Amino acid sequence: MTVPEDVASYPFPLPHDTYRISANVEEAGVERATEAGAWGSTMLHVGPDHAEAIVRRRTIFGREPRRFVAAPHARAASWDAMLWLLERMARERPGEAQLEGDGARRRWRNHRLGVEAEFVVGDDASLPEHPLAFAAAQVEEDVVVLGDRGDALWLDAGLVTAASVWSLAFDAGMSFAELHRPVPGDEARRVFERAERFLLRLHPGEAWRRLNWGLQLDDEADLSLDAFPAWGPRRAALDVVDPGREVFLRTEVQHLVKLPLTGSVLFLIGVRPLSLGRVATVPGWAGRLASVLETLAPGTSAYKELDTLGPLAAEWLRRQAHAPAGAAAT
Amino acid sequence: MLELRVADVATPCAGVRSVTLVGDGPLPSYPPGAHVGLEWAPGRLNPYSLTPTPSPRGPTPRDLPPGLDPEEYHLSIALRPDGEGGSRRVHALAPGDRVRATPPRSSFPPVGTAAHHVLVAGGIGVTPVLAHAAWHAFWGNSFEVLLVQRPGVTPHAADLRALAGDRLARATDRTAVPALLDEALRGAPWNSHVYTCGPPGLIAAVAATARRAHWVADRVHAEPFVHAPATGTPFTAVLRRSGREVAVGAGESLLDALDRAGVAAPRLCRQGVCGECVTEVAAGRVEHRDTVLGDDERDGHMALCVSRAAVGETVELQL
Repeated sequence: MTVPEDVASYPFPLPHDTYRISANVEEAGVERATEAGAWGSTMLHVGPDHAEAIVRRRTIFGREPRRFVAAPHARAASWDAMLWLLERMARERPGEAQLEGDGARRRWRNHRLGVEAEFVVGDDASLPEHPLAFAAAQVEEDVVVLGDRGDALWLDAGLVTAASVWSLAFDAGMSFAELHRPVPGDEARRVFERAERFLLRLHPGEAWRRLNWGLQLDDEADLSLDAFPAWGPRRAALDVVDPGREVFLRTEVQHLVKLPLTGSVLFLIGVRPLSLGRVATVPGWAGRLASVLETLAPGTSAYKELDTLGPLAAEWLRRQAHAPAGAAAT
Repeated sequence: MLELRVADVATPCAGVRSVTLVGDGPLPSYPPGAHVGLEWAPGRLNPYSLTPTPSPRGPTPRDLPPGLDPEEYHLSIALRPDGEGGSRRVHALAPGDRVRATPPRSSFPPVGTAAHHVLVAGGIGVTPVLAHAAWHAFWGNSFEVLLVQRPGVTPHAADLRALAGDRLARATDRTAVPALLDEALRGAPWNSHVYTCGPPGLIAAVAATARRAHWVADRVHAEPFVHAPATGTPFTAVLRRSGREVAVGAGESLLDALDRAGVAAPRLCRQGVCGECVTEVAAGRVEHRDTVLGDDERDGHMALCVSRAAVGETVELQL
């Protein structure tokens, strides 16, 4: 039996039967094997629904321009992030994207999306839109640029259309510590202090990654506070009929890149929702997810809004383990 | 490590050697004020600032941002006849020689939110200042440069003039420096930042002038190029892995003592900034003198290059 692509390439985020908030960073671009396949040899994800994902981002951003922010002082960092993203894409998928020219004038071709552009590096007027918006609109990942100043990181720019219960427009200009204040507990706070020091000490060009996870209803990636009216009421009501189809594991593949030209940190967030029904097709995943949900610390459970959804999902996953083979393959 | 080849050497002024290094194709990009650690003996690295590729025309809007995809790395190194040997080795390099260097490391970047940048360079400290000036000129940032030089012995003075034009002020006479500093720092707009690279005396003078002009410390930056020796009370370091004991004298750093004892320890900046030499401490209280470790990291770690055992203590290291 062949494993479907979304499962085979899924970055399942839970290596252990218990979970606590940690920095859990590892080197980027290194392939990691899972029980169902492998993931991670590339930094930019291109799934079977890549074109739809791009259109979805464009639509949200077009409707709500505040999903993009860029401080005036982030100009050089925005060019730095843009060049890094385009070069990365061209390197990972040379047949589908090319960045040519080694002087100031560059030609960008993205055959997948039919995008062609010529621009002069550093000249904002040579692009149809802000350099960061230009690049961010061609990747599935949400894009955030954090400036490195005064021994701290600051949210300087970004294009984010799939935030998980936060808002880029609200967070713009905050320090790293301020951004993570909602994370509960002294231990978690220390984790983020260490994480910030780690990012500040990275050398230009280094790239790392970490995984984050949660549960959500439906597969809509945009759980931003900006879109709260669209998803909030359903999450509050929690009227789940079929958890296998309606509840999704939300894994975030987060890349952290110390940009080579400015030393700013490029933070990429790739959202990968997978239905519990799909999770249950891999017995190891179903067992670990159920176990993690059953043993989650109260503060972490409350922070991830899993007090009700967690037990519901765990119970369903446990039931599948005892159900006849094939019953879970929804 | 990067494998590089010397493409060219030059002597821009007495006692200073400029070296052009190339690799196979474009080299890693670097932020303004970055340095590479150049290997001058096996395992021994010296940090040298990267200066922008000289352009006879000066920067124009068609030029690339300084530091982006460079074909060459340019270093200018002052000879220190009484140094450990790094600068002597660099001065002996000839075209075709092969050298190894770390990828670029950023330790002295400009602050992007500054309304105005005041750059102060003394002697060979002109190298990172030149990179800053080229960066600000390209991106259209507001800046000025104060160059303190002895007549005829500062390299890159002409490059700096080409970049900064009338934003460059020069002092060839030490007595003229205080007035120039005072004028620059009192006249700078709110939210200006000042960056000094030069000898300790110049750094201290800028800091004192800034204080008198009511600058906050967060806007005063410096990169010393003469390492103040990390001296203090003698102490003993116990190396856990070998059980050896290394005596650290009053006039040397723990890192110096380890070198003397032939113990391999990583290092780069040797001034408590880069974090390369941070080592686990198993026992003993430490007098921390670095600027790299956070409070939570100081519990159980120390920077070998500048920090020492607290008075009367013995430190045990995971070495």
